[in-house]
Amino acid sequence: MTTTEEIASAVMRGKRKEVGPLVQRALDEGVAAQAILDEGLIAPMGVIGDRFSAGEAFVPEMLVAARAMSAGTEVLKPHLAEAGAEPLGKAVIGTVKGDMHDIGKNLVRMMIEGKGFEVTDLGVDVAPEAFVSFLQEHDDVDIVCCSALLTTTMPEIGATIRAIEEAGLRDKVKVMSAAPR
Amino acid sequence: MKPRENMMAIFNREQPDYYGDFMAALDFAPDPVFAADSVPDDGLEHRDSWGTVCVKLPGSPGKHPHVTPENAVVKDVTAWREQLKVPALEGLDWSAAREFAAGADRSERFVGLFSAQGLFERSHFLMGMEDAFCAYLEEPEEMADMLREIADYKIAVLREAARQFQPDVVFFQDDWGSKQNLFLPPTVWRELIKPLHAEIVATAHECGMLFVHHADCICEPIVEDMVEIGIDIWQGAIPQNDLPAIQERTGGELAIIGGIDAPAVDIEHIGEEEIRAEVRRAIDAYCPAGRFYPSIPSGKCFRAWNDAVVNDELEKYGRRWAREHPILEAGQRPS
Repeated sequence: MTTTEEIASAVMRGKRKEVGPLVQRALDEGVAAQAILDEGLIAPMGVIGDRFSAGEAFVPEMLVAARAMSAGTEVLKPHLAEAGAEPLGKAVIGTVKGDMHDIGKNLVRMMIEGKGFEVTDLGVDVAPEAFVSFLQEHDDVDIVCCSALLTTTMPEIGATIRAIEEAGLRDKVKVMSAAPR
Repeated sequence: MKPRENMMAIFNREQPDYYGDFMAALDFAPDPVFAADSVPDDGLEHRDSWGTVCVKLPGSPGKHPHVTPENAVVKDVTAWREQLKVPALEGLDWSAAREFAAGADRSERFVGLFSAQGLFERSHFLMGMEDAFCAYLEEPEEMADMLREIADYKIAVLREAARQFQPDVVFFQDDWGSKQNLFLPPTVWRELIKPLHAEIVATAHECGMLFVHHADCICEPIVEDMVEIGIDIWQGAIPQNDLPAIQERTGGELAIIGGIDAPAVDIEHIGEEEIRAEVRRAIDAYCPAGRFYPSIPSGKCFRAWNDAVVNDELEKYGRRWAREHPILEAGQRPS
């Protein structure tokens, strides 16, 4: 098994303490940072994500895998920057006003960070005005990610989008949301 | 039939006057354990009796944990022995519960104990969901020890409540999953939750209580386990579970409350007939197997008008369905 395969296996099993040292070992062996990211960290998340969608994997398994992937990307970050890899874009993420459920939001943050986005996490219970203020202060944000778990807080996604529209910022950003189904 | 008799008739596979929500025949005694663990209905952060920061929005059915890495009671599961302080049971004033029970007509209605936050919920209330979920997989021995401590407390509360006011029913709340699936992998649930939960159920039975387990989520992967450990009634069965298949798999041994698709009817601008049709669908789909109580799984609709329509249709169609589908005694022929 190559070191990159060992990394992928450790991510699949959620062994975050193993992933950092394995990534370092792969770098020491001369494996390109981008290859470690793609094959060692992102690919196994795709596998476990598919298992989750099929009902075969569970939230804790996704979480430990995502945390393991994050541990690996932390080691990789300076090497990716050194290799001239630019962030794919910038995103801001948060759960909408009144909603304190942040597991899905945290998973999404880790996944899109892993894909190469620079993400600012505004946390939970984020009012529409807070999203707008952030966008006004950071005009290079590409994506706004709003998360709601409850049917009772789902309308706040719409309220956030309207607030962004009213602030005249809607054409500058894509809005990505997740809500109960 | 009095409400209690009607609900026990359904439980015992006898002819009821109507099919309806079991919970409508249950009154909770005002017990001091629940009171101490509650937080004000003001939308602000308060700590419950275990120290968890919770928020209860005005009009919402229950408190929500608002756990952050900074305010978590158990910040490191390997140090839970130092960080967790189990609430004291000594010195509580049970007089209101005793008076309530003394004044209740138990032939008419059940007297209930509301036991909020079971093992799983309490674990994530103490740690935050994300850290708790990871700890179940990464530190299972420590989690098992912490869950043991919580289970001992829940068992002690059951015994004390029985001594103080002898509840007929314990309504035990532990949401084990979401609308999509169980939270924990079933293997982890079986290893860490099931054995301790079995002890809690056995204690309730020893104390003469019917065990109603609330979990308004997917429980499909573990329904046989729920029967095995003695849960009498599963309250909160959402229709995203394959309920007819569950009724078949469990051979009817698990009585069920729920079935109405709340998110489909508890919405703005829905037509009255659409709500009534969903109530009738639930009754038609799940009552034929028996031991089924149609209801909104989470208890009631948030919207008062929607709730009134649901209850009106339950009363009318639940009664009609019982009349038109008599449970025949052995040897009896349909007329």
